[in-house]
Amino acid sequence: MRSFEYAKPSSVKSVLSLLGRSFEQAKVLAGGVDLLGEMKEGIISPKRVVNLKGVKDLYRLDFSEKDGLTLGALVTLTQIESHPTIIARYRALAEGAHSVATPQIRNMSTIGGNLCQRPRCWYYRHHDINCLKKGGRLCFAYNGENKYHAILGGGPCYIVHPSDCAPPLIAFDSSVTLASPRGERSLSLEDFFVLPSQRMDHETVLEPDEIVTFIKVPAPPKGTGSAYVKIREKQSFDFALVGCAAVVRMEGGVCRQARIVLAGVAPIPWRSREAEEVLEGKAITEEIAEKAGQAAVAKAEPLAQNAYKIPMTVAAVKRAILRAAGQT
Amino acid sequence: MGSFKVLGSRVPRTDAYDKVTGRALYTADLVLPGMIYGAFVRSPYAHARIKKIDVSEAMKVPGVVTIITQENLSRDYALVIEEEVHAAQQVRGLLAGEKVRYHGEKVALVGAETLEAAKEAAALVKVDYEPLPAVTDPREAVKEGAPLVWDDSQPVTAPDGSLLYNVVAEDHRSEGDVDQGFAESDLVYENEYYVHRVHQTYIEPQAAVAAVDERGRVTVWSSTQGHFVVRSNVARSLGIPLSRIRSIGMTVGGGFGAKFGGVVDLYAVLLALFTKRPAKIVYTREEDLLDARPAPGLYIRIKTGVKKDGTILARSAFALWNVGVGGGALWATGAFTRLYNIPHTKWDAYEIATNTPPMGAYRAPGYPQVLFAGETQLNQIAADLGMDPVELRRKNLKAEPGFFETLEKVVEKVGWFQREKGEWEGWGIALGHWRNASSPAGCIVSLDEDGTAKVYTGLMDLTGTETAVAEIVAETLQIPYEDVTIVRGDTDSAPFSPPSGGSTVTFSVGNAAWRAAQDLRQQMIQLAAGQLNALPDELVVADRKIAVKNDPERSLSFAEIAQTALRSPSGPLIGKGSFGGDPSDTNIFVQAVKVKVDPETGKTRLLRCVQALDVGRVINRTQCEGQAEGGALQSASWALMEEMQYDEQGRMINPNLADYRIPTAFDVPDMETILTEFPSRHGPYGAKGIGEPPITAALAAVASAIGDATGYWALEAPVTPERLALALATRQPVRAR
Repeated sequence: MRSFEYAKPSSVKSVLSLLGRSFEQAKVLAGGVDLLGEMKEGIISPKRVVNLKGVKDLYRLDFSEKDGLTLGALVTLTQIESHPTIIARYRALAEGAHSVATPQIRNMSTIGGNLCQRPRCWYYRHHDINCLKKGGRLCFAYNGENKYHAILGGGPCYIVHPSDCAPPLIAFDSSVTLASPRGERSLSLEDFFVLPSQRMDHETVLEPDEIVTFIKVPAPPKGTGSAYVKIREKQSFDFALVGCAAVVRMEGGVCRQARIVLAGVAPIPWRSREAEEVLEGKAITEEIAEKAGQAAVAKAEPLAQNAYKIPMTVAAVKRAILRAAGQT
Repeated sequence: MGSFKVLGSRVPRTDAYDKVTGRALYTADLVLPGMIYGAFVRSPYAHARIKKIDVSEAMKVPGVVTIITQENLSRDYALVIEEEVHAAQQVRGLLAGEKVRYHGEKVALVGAETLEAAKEAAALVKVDYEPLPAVTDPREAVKEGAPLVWDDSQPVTAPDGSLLYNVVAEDHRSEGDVDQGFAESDLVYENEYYVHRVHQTYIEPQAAVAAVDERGRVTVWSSTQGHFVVRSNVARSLGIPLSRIRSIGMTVGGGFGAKFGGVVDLYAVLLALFTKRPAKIVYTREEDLLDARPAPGLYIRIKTGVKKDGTILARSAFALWNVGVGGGALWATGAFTRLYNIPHTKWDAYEIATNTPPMGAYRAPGYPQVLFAGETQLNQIAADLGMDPVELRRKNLKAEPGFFETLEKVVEKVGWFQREKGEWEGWGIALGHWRNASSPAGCIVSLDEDGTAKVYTGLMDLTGTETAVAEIVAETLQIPYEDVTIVRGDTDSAPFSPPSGGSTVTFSVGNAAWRAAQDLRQQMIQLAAGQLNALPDELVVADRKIAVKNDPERSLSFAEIAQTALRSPSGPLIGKGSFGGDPSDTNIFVQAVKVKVDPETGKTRLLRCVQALDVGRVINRTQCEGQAEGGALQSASWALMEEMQYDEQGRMINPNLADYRIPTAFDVPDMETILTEFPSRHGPYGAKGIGEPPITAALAAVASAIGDATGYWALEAPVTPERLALALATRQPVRAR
């Protein structure tokens, strides 16, 4: 790790004044789980690190029927996975947070950091390799070792997004509030993430001098069920090979609305409208859930080593839907 | 044997309290006055010519003390690694010379006032490389036109007449006539298996500290399995007389075969020699994965001829060991023939150089790989013959002490012949084995004035062997375990000890300790006989006392004996024991596992893990069980998730514990362990070394259980979800794309 300047301001305004025009100038520290790993491994060497943890506003965690759930960027994954209202009303989110890493890591990890974490691609994470995402000329995964890489939305870089919390949050139709010296803006969380074909140096729309402040999740209407299914090689402390968040609203035995968002298969949390369309207006059966899974991968374009993710995605989608609908 | 007072108990380990309270001192904890820190410049290429190394920018970093490259090294310096466990020797440059031959190879060594300065400077050393094609798979390395890892290597002719390239050593053995055996067989099976290289992933990365005093005497502290081996390696590699080196073994956070020295210790000594200041080198996890001593990989083709009734007539193998830029794997090749009565056997084994790090030992070196092939194939044959895999073993197993009995214990525990399995569930069984190494060792046991005993040894305790030695001494002297203190000496203060590897310590140091305790006991009896006016054979030793058999009132406590000795002309009581090595006996390890496969994802879960180990004699029950369970788990993990992965340019792409997977507690079922006791002829109280055998069989057992669950047999390990899903989708055996 290179030496750096460190600041711990106590307001969003002063945080913003300390950020720079490029990510190299300054990085934001919250739990430090991802940032410190990147710095220690020599992937990035920011000149300044700005610690958010002095900003009291960003610890906010509240719920009302009218405004739904508000999560400050500094709310930890442990808080999310153990919060009674989140467990009761937003099960997929509690499950997504719970599925992350280990208890110690979840104690440190913040929701803001989870959404902004950088890819786990082994070429990106290797300090000896200057890949496309780091400003190099080539995506080494494309012709190289790509079993953990994207089957949807890839190109010219084939990372997958590592967040287990973003898919359930998007499935619950969350929005995110960002702050920069130019002011605040809010956008749907789905639009917060961008593909490598649109932007290479980050996976979100965040500008270098901009931070996530709040995530707002509407209160789920009556009849809503949800689940997050994560398939991984180890039973804990592992990123998703494939994950699926499903939120379904049932009415009279029929699915009125469904949102299906995948993890581990695309450079961003991947909303599958194709899968959602299969469900809407139908009773949820194993057959329908399977069809939705098939629809989710209809446009998949696997690389040489990751075609196995296609049937795995079908299984994850099917299982998430059935659990969300309360059938397993 | 009669009943034991101490042996077979569950006394806590001698190091337990220090470890759980954080008081144990590891190498990384050491800080010496004026100490500098070392960091390496490492090759980003798997194979490249070094055109130029420029250290000028790096030297400008504040705090840099020295930068060492192969050019500044004396010609007398060489990396000489001798591992007693393998009888393997490697001689290489300490740092890369004209070429680098694997990703992460050491190119230069920076010494600086702080670790941060050392790392910053290491990043600023400019190395001009000319990249060369690299090869990491032994199946590719043997082909004509493959990059040559060693320039002077000449092709050798294989038994089938083809030429093999990149061969560094070979071994050919046969008994009987396999051609005749295959001709007489009803059925002949031939399968190819492939095992990737795996890393020992001990919890404590490699670490060493070294200092040189004004008179040039070297002291080296390290995380090692054998400080005597470190001493001899430093002497041989750096041309320093043995008597001018003091090697101190610190608390060790695991080694599993990779800590026999040569990875960091020599370099800490080099820095100390160059700068006249103490120097410390502690690996990061990444450095350990890139550049330590991981296990060799194996390609093996096994051919087995059987009669229809399951009788094995002949087995042969053709093996290519992926030894990286090292060597020392050949000797394990025959492991697949050892347990069975097979009239005709033959193997042709080659060590193949690849652009990967030098191989080292990994717990029962080579056996898990060979037995993955050998035992999985037997299970495939049993399935094909419609025969139970246990029946196939019963038919062919040698009738050596403990073999059948230990197998039957597992059959009974599992209820093998009534075993049930649900959909996508499967059972696998495999046999493994080891015969412990037997090595020279010395030990001294003295009696203190309070009647307690002190044991002076040079053993390096990785697995509870200090506890085992303390128990052996306590049993021999008939005192409680708590009355024995182990004093671990360094190479200046301790009698010679073998390194902790090859399951040798409890057997060898245990024998030396037993002899030393016997010697002390004889001296105590002699002294007591004089004091009590009795003949030595009228005396009994029990409960910290020596008493006259028929007149128990006439007795002396151990404390009285020790105090009397101090007042007598003979002086303090000191027993000594030396052991030169006697053969042990094979211990069998039997592994049964039950798995459940998720057919939609290819993911395998372990449901049951039942193992039986012949330990010869239980010294400490908890430690024996721990060994059996730890080994079984490592092997199962090898079957399911562990693999060092190299990309097409030969770069290791998973040098971290996120991408190099080892199991978590959630991945492990409750372990069910059975210990059997078929004493070794020469072991202390019949004990056999038990470190190695537990890792030998689960790799095959898990792979076979997956075969039983799915009908698809694993020809390549690990069986990751990706590989199994592919096998299920394509209806092919499990292997890489």
